[in-house]
This record gives sequence, structure tokens and C-alpha cells, in this order.
Amino acid sequence: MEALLVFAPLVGGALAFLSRPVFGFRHGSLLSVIALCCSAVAAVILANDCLTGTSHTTVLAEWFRSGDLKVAWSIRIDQTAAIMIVVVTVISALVHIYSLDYMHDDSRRDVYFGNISVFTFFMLSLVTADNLLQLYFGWEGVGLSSYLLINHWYNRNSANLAAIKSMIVNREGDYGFCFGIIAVAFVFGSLDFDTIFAGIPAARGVMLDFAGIKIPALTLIGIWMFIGAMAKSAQIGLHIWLPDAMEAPTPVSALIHAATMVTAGVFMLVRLAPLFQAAPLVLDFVTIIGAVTAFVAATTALAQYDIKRIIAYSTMSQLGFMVAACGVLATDAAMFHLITHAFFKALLFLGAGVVIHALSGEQDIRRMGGLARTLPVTVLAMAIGSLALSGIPGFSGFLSKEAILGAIYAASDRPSAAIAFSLLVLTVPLTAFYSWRLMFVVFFGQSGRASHGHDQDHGHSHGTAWLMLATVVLLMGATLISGVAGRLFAPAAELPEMIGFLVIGLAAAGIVAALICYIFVPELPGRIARALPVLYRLFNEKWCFDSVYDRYFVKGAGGMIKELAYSVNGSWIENLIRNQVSVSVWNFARRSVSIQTGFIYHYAAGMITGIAVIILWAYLTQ
Amino acid sequence: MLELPVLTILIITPLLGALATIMVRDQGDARQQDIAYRIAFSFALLTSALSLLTLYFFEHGKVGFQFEERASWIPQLGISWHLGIDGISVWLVALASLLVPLAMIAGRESVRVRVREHVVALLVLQSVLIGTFCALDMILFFVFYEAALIPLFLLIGSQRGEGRSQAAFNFVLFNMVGSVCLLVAILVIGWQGGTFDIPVLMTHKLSPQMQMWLWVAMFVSFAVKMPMWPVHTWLPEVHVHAPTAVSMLIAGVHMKLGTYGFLRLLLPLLPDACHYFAPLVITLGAITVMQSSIVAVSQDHIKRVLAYATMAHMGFTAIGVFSLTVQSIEGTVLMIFVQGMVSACLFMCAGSLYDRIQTYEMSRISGLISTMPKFAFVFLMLVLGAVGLPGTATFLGELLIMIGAFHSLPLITVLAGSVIVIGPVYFFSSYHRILFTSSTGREVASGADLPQNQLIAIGCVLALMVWLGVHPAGFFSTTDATVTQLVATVHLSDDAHALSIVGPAMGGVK
Repeated sequence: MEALLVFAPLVGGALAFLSRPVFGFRHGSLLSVIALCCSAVAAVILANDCLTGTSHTTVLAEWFRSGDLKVAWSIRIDQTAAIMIVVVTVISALVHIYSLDYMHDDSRRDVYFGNISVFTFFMLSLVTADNLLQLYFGWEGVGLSSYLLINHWYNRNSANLAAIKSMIVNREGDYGFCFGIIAVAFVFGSLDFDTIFAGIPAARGVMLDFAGIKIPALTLIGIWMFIGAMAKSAQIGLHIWLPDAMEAPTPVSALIHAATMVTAGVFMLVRLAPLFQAAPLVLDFVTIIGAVTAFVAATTALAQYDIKRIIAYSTMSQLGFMVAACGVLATDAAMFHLITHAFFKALLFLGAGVVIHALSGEQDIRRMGGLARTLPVTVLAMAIGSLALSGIPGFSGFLSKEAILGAIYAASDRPSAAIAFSLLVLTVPLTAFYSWRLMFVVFFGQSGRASHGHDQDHGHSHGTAWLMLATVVLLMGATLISGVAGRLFAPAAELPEMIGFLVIGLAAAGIVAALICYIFVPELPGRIARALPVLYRLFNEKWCFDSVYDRYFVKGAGGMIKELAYSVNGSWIENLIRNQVSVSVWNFARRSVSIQTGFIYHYAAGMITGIAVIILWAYLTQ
Repeated sequence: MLELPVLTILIITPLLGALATIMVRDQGDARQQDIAYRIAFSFALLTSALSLLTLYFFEHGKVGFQFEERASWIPQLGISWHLGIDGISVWLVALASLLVPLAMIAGRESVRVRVREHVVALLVLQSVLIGTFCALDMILFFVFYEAALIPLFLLIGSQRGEGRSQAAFNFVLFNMVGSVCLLVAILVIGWQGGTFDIPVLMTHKLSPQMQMWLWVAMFVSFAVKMPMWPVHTWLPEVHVHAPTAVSMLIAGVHMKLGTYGFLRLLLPLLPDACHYFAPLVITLGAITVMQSSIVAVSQDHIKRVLAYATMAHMGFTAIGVFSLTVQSIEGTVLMIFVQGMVSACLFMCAGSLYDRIQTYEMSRISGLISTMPKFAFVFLMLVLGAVGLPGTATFLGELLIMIGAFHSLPLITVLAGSVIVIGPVYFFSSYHRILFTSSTGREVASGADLPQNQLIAIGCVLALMVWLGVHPAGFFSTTDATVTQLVATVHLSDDAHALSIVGPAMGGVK
């Protein structure tokens, strides 16, 4: 059963890749859908066994054994993993079915299905890992799949750029994660979760020596690990890849960039909670980063016009909630929000996919409007998703958001948690506002814009996408019940009533504000934007992360690299060897004149050589 | 166990093949060239099969050398024909013998003139490289080690092209300077120990002071071969001008001679000096890694990018050897084996690209994916191997090396590890530039996709790369005994602690 769960998507993906070129079978995509459904059934059965709180680990094979380090491939299913396998396989299966319609006319359909199936395999190997290295295997694997799917429409230059950006930013996170793993192997001598957790008390006093600077090992491990989580879960600073990743086909955005892969960082924080618990400094950092991310992303979403980017920033903001919850070790609340968010955000993305599909690829909400009449089911679905996202009682998002805010409030004797709490409370009305802004502008608002004629011209060819509608309806049901089902997994702690009222009040205020701005007084948003030009530009330019990175890292570092490359690659040693037999005195004289050439790279070469000599000298004389 | 002189047969077979190939009359006739190629290719394949058999019959978990054979050569000077392989060299023998047929496949399309000479040189090279990895006598080792330069020099210089002779000259000059140092060191050790036999010398102890000088002399030679910063400048020019087969063999196996030299000569013969100099080498290795990665980012020539990438990997192997832990050395051997294959295949891809569009400059290539989808696929897989994606053996190698190095010098390891980020920057930007970006004024390949034989060859390498990355139990069980013993020898050395500056750092936790 465990093997079926994990390997069915891999087999399905391989079949989708190979069926056309090798067997000449044109419906490879169907095979991957069937495989995914099998995997989902297996997941539900396995998760059902785990409801009682038992966990078991199946060892599949040895990975490697070198010296005293042993790592095995295994499938560990405990409560956390059980939640994740259900979420991953169910949403993945729905997205597969949805894609049958959405990608129907795509020429690289088989590759697409192969990729999302293989992605599911990697994601499952990540969540069922029993050791850090298998977790890392899945971690990089999902990153690769994400890269390939963002680049699916490779003829678009923007897709190419987004793909490479996601790859490199994620590798920056992996750099941290990888060294976290290396330090764990060094400190604990093992990468198995149970061994690591058992060794924490003994590891508290361990210091790592960085050229004389001593750093507590656990703090360093925690920070490295969290850098990995920051990149994958799009936390501020390393988030810049996520909005661009919306170049991927919309079902991919629903599956990878909303429901599953981006939550891998949160999953990692939950999995390694005992490790983070031993590093309080890191926890403060995690809490603050999560809250700041939630706030910045929500404000950015206010001033975006691309329907997918609005939802992407919303995802980032909600991930901030989960990370902040992990910062106060409220792992139950974080997991609870992870589940509810996975369903309602997948619903929102798939609904947005229906809209985009119906409008033949239009994504700018300024060119949409009044779609409620033409897409009645979608509007209902997206309304439910938005209600859940805003945190209206009766819907799943309310319960999980309340749980997170309650947990952070309870921990607010720590200054970091207090700051986080106020930021997150500010974020709640913003969330409601931007999600209903989207609803009102797209589905209600003024109709008869450019999109409408467009819709009538081309809309009919996409008119009856039954599979898409069916999956949206199914997800709608899942969203409604996930609030209840999630409770079973994560029983809520006693919360002060004040939190609940706060959430309701702020969310309602956000919705009402959106209603006023976009239905009753449509000229109001423009006037506000003109009144606060600085703020508007800040939000619209996404807090300038992209432009700053571009200027200082991509262009600045790029230029520096060119100079460095020229200088450290200098040919002095070549000259030395080539001329040693010839008359080198004359050359020496000439070279000593040319030292003062004024070329910056010559000076840089001198500096680097000098530094190298000093380092070597320091070691030799130590 | 068979009592055949297995290793001698391994060395002789390609030479017989070379003889047989020379017999073919070559007057520039396509059919004759084809016959010459076929004969040479079958002999190269036969040698590979034999080396795989050796690997199969190699006894796991046994310390010491296997398939040993000894014949007297110059008894007056204590020089003998002494061959044998242990858990490390068995993989390198396999690497050397497997790469030559690969290189021949790569040259099948591109080499049009002097085909016979080309394949004969490759066969001689195969024989010589296998010999280097089997030799257990220092003089024998040196002879093979130097002999490898001759076919390489001829192969680089033989094809026409501007700058070729200069590159070939540079290549030999750099290597010769290193070799002089090595030869002096070997003679001194032999004179001190009274024999050139490596297993005998391993039990002989040299004074620490003497070890220092010998170590420096030998290190220079191996560092040139790898190459390490700052003696690397011969490398990119050689790759730019060399034919594809030569690039493959230099990147795939000839550079690995440096690391092999560390493992075969430096560690067992000069353990105290190795202890003393370990931080120096690790630092130099880290500089090599960072410098070559940074330079690779700004290159426009595909072969230069690949050359610097290979150099970065070699920097890692130097770090791995001198971290002096079981994990890091096993990681190094794994890395050498798999990365040798992968980088050879990458050079093969670059060569095929050149055959189709007559340029290596990425700024002049774009949009290949529309005409060469198979190329796009295998190239992506090779790139994933080169950047060390988990699930590939290169990842395991890198990880084990860094775990080992973290024990002694964490800061340096973290700096060297930056290649985790920089590697994908240059690999993926190169990948995107040649495959996707479509701007006007660039050439789009109009040729065919990769030929069948190259696809099969690369496919085998990819399968090996994933297999060893996912389930390398067989690999580690061959290397384990040898590496454990090697590390124990180095650490048990009496004077190690008197000289050691690694000591305090190593005491860290355990």
C-alpha cells in the first residue's frame, strides 16, 4: 500500500512521457490520471489507519552507508505525513482531471502530464521521508518539476526567465538547507529524525568553530534550515520567484505554487519543530519573517492587476501566517491552516483558470467584469474560496486563522510574537479586501469591457469544459468540509473569544470596504491611489524587491563577476612557466612597469592574490 | 580465482587493437576509414568489458591489492612490473576503459581526416591510462603517467586550427614542469627506501622533515594535472582547441590522475606531511572551486564553461581527499567516477553541437529545442548531474565530501559550497541560451538531432549516474575496506599529532 502510494505517480508519469514516442499510444495522460487516482485512494486508506495516532515506518532499501553514516529510503506515515499525503494526492488527482480539459489543445500535453505526475512522486517522497536526506531529495525534485512546468510554454521569453529565476532562488535556499544537513550529520552523526531528536539535549552545548568565531550548533542549523524553508515557501527576501512562477499553466499554479510545493517549507518547519524548539533565537526570527511576509504580500496584492499574481501574493501572505505559527511552535495550527489553505487556494486558482480559459488567456482584471452571468458555477466556487480566505465564520479559513492568531497571542510575552500578532491582525482586513476586490471586479463590476466581446467571439469553443467544472465543484465541497475534517487532525486549543470576534470584525470590514470601493463608489480606489502616490507605487512595484535585486545582484554582481573573472584568471603563472627558460629578466622589468596599468581588474587580481597569500600564511603558521 | 594476469591483459588488449588498426590501409577512403574505426571500436569495447569483469570479480571487503602480478624488470634498481588494484583504483580502471569507446563515438561524426591515426592514439591512451591506475611501482607509474601526454599531445596538435599548436605546447609544458618535480620526489623516495615498490614503501617511514619537501614536489605535479588554482591556466585553452574526443578524455579521466596521485602516493607514503598540509590544500581547493565557478558564469564559449565546471569539481575532490575522513574520500572516488562520465558526455554534446552549427559561442546559438528535442533532454539530464541534484551520484559525492570537510574547516567548506548556487547559474543560463532564447541575428541549428549511437552512450551514462545516486551500496562496499584502511594509516601516523594543526579542530565534538 505504501509503495503504491508513492510509486504509482512515478509510474504514471513515466507512462505519460513514454506512451506516445515508444508505444504510439495517444492517451498517456489518461494513464497518469488513473495512476494518480490509485495513489489518492491508497493515501486515504493509509491516513485512515493513522487517525488513531499510530505511526509506522516502512524501510524500502538502503540508500548508502559510508563510514558511520547510514541513510535509508523509507516511507514514514505518522499524523503529519498522513495529512500531507491526503492533501497532496487528492489535489493532485483533481488537478490532473482538470488539466485533461485545460491542456486539451496543448501540443506538449504528454510532457505536461508526465511532469505533474513526477512532481507528485517527489512531493510524496518528501512528506513521507524518515530522514533529512530523503526530505532533501524530494525537496530538490519538486523544485526541478516546478522549474520544468514554469518553462512549459518555452516559446515565451517571460516563461524562460521565470523558470531560471525560480531555479536559482530556490538553489539559494537549498544552499542553506544543504549545510543544515551537513551540520546535522556533523553534530548528531545521523540524519534520521528520531536519532536527531533524541540527540538534541546532548547537542545543546555544542559550538561550531568558524575560524575562531564560535556559534552554537543548534542555532546555526536552525538558521540554515530556515533559509531553505524561506526559499521554498516564498518568505520575504527569497520570495521573488513565486509571482513570476505564475507563467506556468494555471492548474500547475494551483497544485505546485499554492497547495503543495510551497507548503513544503512549512512542512519542514513542522517536521523539525523539536530542533527549532532548542534554538529560541531562530524561533524569533521565524516568527518575525512569517508575519512580515504576510503583511508585505497582502499590501502588494492590493495593487496588482493580474488575476494570477493577486492569488499568488495571497498565497505568499497565507504562507506567512503558517510560518509565523511555526515560529511560536503552534505546529497544529500551522498544519490546520496548511490543509484548509491548500483546498481553498486550489479552488481559487482552478476557478481563475476557468475564467482565463473562458477569456482565451486574458489575465488582466481591468479587462474583465460582469462575468457572474456567464460563469455562474465559477462565481459561486470562487465566492466560497474567497470567504474561506477572508476568514468568515462557517468557512474553513476562519477556524485555522483563528487558531494561528490565538496561538501567537498566547505566546505574545515574547516581543517577536507581539510584533507578529499586530502585523497579522493588520493583514486580516487587507486579505478580505484584496480577495473581494478581485471578486467584485472580475465577476460583478461594470460589464461590457473589452473582454466581453472577446468572450462571445471565442468563448464558445471553451464553453463546455465539464471536467473543469466538475473538479471545481468537488474542490468546493472539499473546501467546505476541510474545516471540519481538519479539526479532527488538529484539535484546537482553548482560544480567547476576543480572537474570534477580532477576525470576524476585521474580515467583514475588509469585505465591506471592497464592496464600497468596487461596487458603490468605483472612482474611490483611483482617488486613494492618487492621494497616496508613494504608497501606491510601493505596493504596485511589489516593495521594489525585484528592481533592487536586479540592480545590485544581477547587474551589480554580474558586472563584478566579469571583472573578477578577468582578474583571478590572470596569466601570471602561465607567464612564469612559459618564460622560465627564456630570458625572464626583461619580461620582469616590463611587467613591473605594467603593474600600474590603471585597469581595475589588475588591482583586483593583486588584491585577491594578496588575500590568498595571507590565508595560506595564516594556516601555515598557526 | 582465475590465475590469469588480468591487468596485463587489460593493458595489452588496446595495444593489440592499435596494431590491428594500423594494419588497415588508409588512403582517405571512406570505407577503409570505416573499417579502421570499427576494429578500433571493438577493441575499445572489449577492453571495457574486461574492466567490467574485473570489477565484477573484485572481492568486496578485502583490504589490500587484488589481481596482483609482479615481474622483474630492472632488478638492479629495484624496479619491477608490479600491478594490482584496490577498491579505489578498480573504479578508475573502469572509468578509463569505459570513456575511450565513448570518445570514439563522439569522434565518429566529426573526425574526417586521419581517422586511423585518431583511433590508434585513443587506443594507446586507453592502454596507458589503465596502466597508470594499475601500477604499483613508482617508476612504472611515472612512465605511464608521462606516456599519457604523448597521444594527447598528438591528438590536440594533429587537427588543423588556429592556436592548436600553442595550446598543445602549453599543455605539455605545464605538465612537464610538474613531472620534473614528481620524478625528483620519486627518485628520492626510492633511494631512501631502497625500492620503488609502493606496497613495500607504505611500511617504510620517512622523516617528517623529508616528507615536507617530497610532499611539495609531488603536490605541484598533481595540482597541475587536476588542475588547481593557480596552475590551471593551460586548461581552458586546451579544451577550446582540442577535438571533442580529447576534451572528453582530459575532463573525464586525465584530470583525475591528479586526485589519484594524492590517493595513491601522497596519503600512504607521506602521511605526516599530508596532515600538516591538509588545511592548505583544502583552502586551495575551495579557491579553485569558487574561482572556476565565478569565471564560468561569464563565459560565452560552451567548452570554456564546461572546462571551468570540471575544474570546480576537481577542486571538490582535492577538498575531499585532504579532509582525511572515510566519508569524504569515498565521496571523492564516487565523484571522480561519475563526474568523469558526466563531464565527458557534456563535452560530447558540445562537440555534436559544433558539428551541426560550426560554433561554440553561445551568443550565436539559440532556439535549438525546436530542432533537437532529444539533445535538449539528454543535455538537461547531464546538467542535472553536473549541478548535483539529489538522486544523482554527483550529489552524493559532493555531500559526502562536504560532510567530511566540515569536520576540519567549516568556514572553508561553506565558502566552497557556494557552488550549489553558482553551479546552476552558469549551467542553466547556458542551457537556456542555447535552447530557448530566440532573438534575431542568432543561428538556429538546422541539422539533425543527436545520432543514435551517442544517445545510447549517453543513456547508459545517465542510467549509471542515477543508479549510483539512488542505490550505491555496491559502490561503497568495494571502496569501504580500502578507504577505511587508508584513513587509518594516515591517522595512526606517530608524528601526526606533533605536526598536526588539524588536531584541535577535529576534536570538535566526538
